[in-house]
Amino acid sequence: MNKIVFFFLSLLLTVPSAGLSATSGCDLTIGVSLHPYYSWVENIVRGNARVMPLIPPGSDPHTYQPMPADLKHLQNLDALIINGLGHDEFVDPMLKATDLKGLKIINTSMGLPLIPSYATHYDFEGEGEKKVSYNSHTYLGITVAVQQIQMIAAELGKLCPDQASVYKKNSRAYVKKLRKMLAATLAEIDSIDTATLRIATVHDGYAYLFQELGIKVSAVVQPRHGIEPSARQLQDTIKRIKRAKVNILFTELDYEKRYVDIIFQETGCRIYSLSHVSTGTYDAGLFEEDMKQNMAGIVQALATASGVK
Amino acid sequence: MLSAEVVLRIVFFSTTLKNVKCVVNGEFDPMENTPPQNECRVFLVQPKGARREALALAGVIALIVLLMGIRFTQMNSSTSGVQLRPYQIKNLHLKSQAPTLYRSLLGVVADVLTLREENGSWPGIDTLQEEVLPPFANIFLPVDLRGFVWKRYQSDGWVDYYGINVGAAAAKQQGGDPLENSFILRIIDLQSEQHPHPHLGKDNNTLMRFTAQIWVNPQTVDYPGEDLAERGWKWIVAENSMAGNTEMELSEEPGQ
Repeated sequence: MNKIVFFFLSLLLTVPSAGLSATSGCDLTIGVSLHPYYSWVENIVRGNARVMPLIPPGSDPHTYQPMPADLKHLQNLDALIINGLGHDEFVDPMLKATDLKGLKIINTSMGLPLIPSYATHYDFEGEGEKKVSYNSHTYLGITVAVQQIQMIAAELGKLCPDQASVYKKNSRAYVKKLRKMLAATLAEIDSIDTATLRIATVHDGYAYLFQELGIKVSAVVQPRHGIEPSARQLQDTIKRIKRAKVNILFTELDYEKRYVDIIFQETGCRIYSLSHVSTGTYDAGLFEEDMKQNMAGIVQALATASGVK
Repeated sequence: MLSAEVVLRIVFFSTTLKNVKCVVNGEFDPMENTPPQNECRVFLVQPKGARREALALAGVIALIVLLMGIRFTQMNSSTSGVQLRPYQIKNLHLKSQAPTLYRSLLGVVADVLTLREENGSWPGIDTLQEEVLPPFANIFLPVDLRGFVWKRYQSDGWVDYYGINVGAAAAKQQGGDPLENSFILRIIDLQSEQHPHPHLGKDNNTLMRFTAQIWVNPQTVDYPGEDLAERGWKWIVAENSMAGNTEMELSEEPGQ
């Protein structure tokens, strides 16, 4: 009698877990190093896997120092989405410290056509530094994001073949939405005469986005971001804006207003802020929302400077 | 009762060895706890030849240098990315807005393959435009890239999407931006019996069925057919390519 009770108890305990695994396929836990990757992966898996950010919201990926608890997180991951060009500098020491051989690293910049950072010479500059490094802001653009989203979906599909078709379907739907956004922005830019505009950015983070919008950036006034400019650097920025005859300057959202005001007073150049998509809470809609605002901001800036509105 | 002879040899780092030989005479009785009487003699031993030691040392140094050299060469080749063939160019050489078109073509490969899977054949240009896929639907491109006209050329084992900048051809502006005028997106089924070479991935690859490549020609030229390299077309290679991945080895001849 006891044996029969034990058998049914065992059955009760095993059936729910078997049922769960049958419905959820493989139970992936995917780590992401940057905010945009969180949005992309959430839209690819749509609840069919767990997505875990590596660093807390509000942390700066450039300066983040990994904590012992962060290393523990790594051990629970099946895959980790990284930038691969150093934008998430904190990842390398974490990976070296843990040496997890079973962890699948998905390098989003692999196979991606990159934009050289310091090999660019602007018209007003002479021959500059010849050193080539690559722009790591590969997540700030639509066309460039599409390729990465498709690559991530394919790689996750390899890890979990049961879900591969779901990931593919989800990524297609997401990509379609993003492309629609791009087309709408391009249609608006078409109606603006940009020939007389000279555009500069505070740092080189928006090169991929401006390139796909067909907008030429005349100068990058502060190549590195996240660093508060000294009085001398600010003076240099103003000098560069004047030399490049810039009408519009795009800064980051967190660029301090006092610097913006000084630059405007000294140069008369209109200043607009763009999101770096790297702050705030991790959310599936963050990338889409921030990029929508960025593109709307760019259209508004171009229209205002060219006198359309 | 314990009887023993202990020999100690002390070796110094010099060409001359100083040996100390201690001979224990007598027997050690633990009950009486009296130590045996020792008698030590010190004598010098000359090595058989300093040349042999010097040669051995030089050999070890040479081996270390050789191993370091091999390691350095390996590291250098693994970080330098792709070794370019004469028919390849790096994507960095694309000028003006050509990188945007290149990215659009790379981004559409997954959609083309999905449509092929759904319909059983390579999608035509009309289908790609109906699906609103860039660059075939040119609303996703900046104005300067909207002059491209696309055609599909297909075979069982591969498909070419060939686009020429009709606007540039009409205006004879080929000198303006020489790398923007003719593009081919080629997708190859590696499991097909006959398909063009070169391509990434081995023939009859079981791990990777399709491979995609984008070719460019500075001129506005007619569709060249299968042999792109021989007709002066250049295969665009992304700087950060899949070098080192065994699935992505270059296959230049059939059967590779």
